[in-house]
Amino acid sequence: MKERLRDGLGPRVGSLLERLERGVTRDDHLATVARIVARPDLLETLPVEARPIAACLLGEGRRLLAGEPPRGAAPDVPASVPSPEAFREAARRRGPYESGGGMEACHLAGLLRLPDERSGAPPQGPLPEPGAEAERAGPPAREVAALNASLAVDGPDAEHVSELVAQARALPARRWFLRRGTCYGTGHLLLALLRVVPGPLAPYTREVCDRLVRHVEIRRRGALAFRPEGLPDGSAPAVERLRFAVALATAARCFGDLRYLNTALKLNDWHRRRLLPGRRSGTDSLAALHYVVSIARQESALREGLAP
Amino acid sequence: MKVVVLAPIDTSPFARVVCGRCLREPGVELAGIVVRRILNPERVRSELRRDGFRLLGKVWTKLVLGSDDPGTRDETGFFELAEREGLAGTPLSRLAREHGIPLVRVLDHNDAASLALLERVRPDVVAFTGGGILRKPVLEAAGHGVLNTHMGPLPEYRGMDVVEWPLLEGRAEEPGLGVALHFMAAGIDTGPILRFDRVPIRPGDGLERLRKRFEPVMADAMLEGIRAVRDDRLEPRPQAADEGRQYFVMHPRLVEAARRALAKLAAAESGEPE
Repeated sequence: MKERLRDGLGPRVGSLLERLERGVTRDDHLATVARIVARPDLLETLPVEARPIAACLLGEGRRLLAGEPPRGAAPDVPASVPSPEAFREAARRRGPYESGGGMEACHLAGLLRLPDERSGAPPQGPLPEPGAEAERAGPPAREVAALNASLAVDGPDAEHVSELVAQARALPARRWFLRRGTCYGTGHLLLALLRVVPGPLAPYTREVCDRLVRHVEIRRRGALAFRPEGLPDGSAPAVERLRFAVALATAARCFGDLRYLNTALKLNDWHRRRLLPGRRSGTDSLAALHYVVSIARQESALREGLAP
Repeated sequence: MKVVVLAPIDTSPFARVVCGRCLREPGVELAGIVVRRILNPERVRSELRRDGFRLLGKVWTKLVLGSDDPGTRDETGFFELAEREGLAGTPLSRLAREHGIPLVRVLDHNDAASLALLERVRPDVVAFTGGGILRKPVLEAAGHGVLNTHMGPLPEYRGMDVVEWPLLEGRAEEPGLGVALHFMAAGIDTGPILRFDRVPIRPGDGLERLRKRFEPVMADAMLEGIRAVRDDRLEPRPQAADEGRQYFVMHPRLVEAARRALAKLAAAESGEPE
């Protein structure tokens, strides 16, 4: 029986297994990025304030397709983007991750401001101590929102850091991820934390990344189902999931840890299916833009992390 | 001294080799075998979640190709060991019948039937040859504990694909590649370490060949662990939970990078350019 299977099916099964083992390749991702970058309607479907930043971010995709190295220092953020003060004010009024032209522009600007090089400083120092409030059970939506609002869009000044540490104390890393999903807003929060690495929050950020990897690898696609349910709508969950992928690829470079990149690769592979031609979810501009950035960051991290 | 073997499936060559060696080892009594059923929807679901489509490759290699996997034919692995030790084609159920050893079939090693056998037999040690995560009641019913062979250095590399991860991270020299024998604990690969046997890279090694060379080392390490319990010369080194890092299934693109790193090291071993 075994011999018959081996002789009859061997070559065909062998090539099928080889294809499955290969999974989603670099070329697959680049083809999807090329399709997104070539979309004539992509910028028009975004709020006016977000378009200049979106154009900068699409540039990352174009550089990737052209085989050019990633950008060096973060470019100047266009003047149309609301200032950090305006963002904080808007976050106080509406919540830091609700949609709206100015907010989306701020979130995209946040992607632009992510460090695009390896951080020289190893994460050291004590982790923020959990406060009494942190022991409360249930989804930490309030603490996530508070920390998000504090981080705003820019790297904080020295004065701001102590406020951040205080907020982080109310939200210890172990409370970021829930048994059946993730609190909405934590993807945005992780990106914001990575913008302030290296710094006193680096050990905390690293612990969050460790827990995110474990959360995703164990719970797989169910890991990033968002709680509280019903909070995000439209493309928001997809964008938030991609924020985690961008964050992990960035963290891989900041901390020099390939385990983060490993999980980012899987998150991007899972997301690519949603962008295949004929899928309605593939037409959302904001999600497509985040995917382009995520792939650009993934490829940079791969090139840097695996360099001989 | 009584040993119970936990096996992933009835035809597991690793479990057959361990059982065969226990039967021949003076002063060791193979007192029971627990076998997981091959058709177990829960297990298929969890392994598919963990391994994705790679599971199909594992099934094809383990159940159909066996020792005829062309990439590894010239190496001695579990299949060849089982054959050499007269256990080719002998499932554990037949081995148990022939030697009058109690055998239970379970869906999960943590099932009540498994616990009942352990409580009835009261083994001095349990040899784990694969089959999922063990829960506290099983770990506590196992005399000195449950022995496990891990295909990577501990405490540095816990979890999955720990042959590939040190290659990728450039740590094939130190802490090195090899098999760690340890007692299982509630955390993944966090129990006290008994020994570490290095597996050297040889000229011409690919990942499949290298992995296959781990297999006889695993079988030898497991028997050494059983002997150490019998002779009362255990020297376990406890691990602190924060001493190591946990690794997960490696993405195919990183596996390719690990292959390239191995090819370089193997070429260096042969003194030839890559």
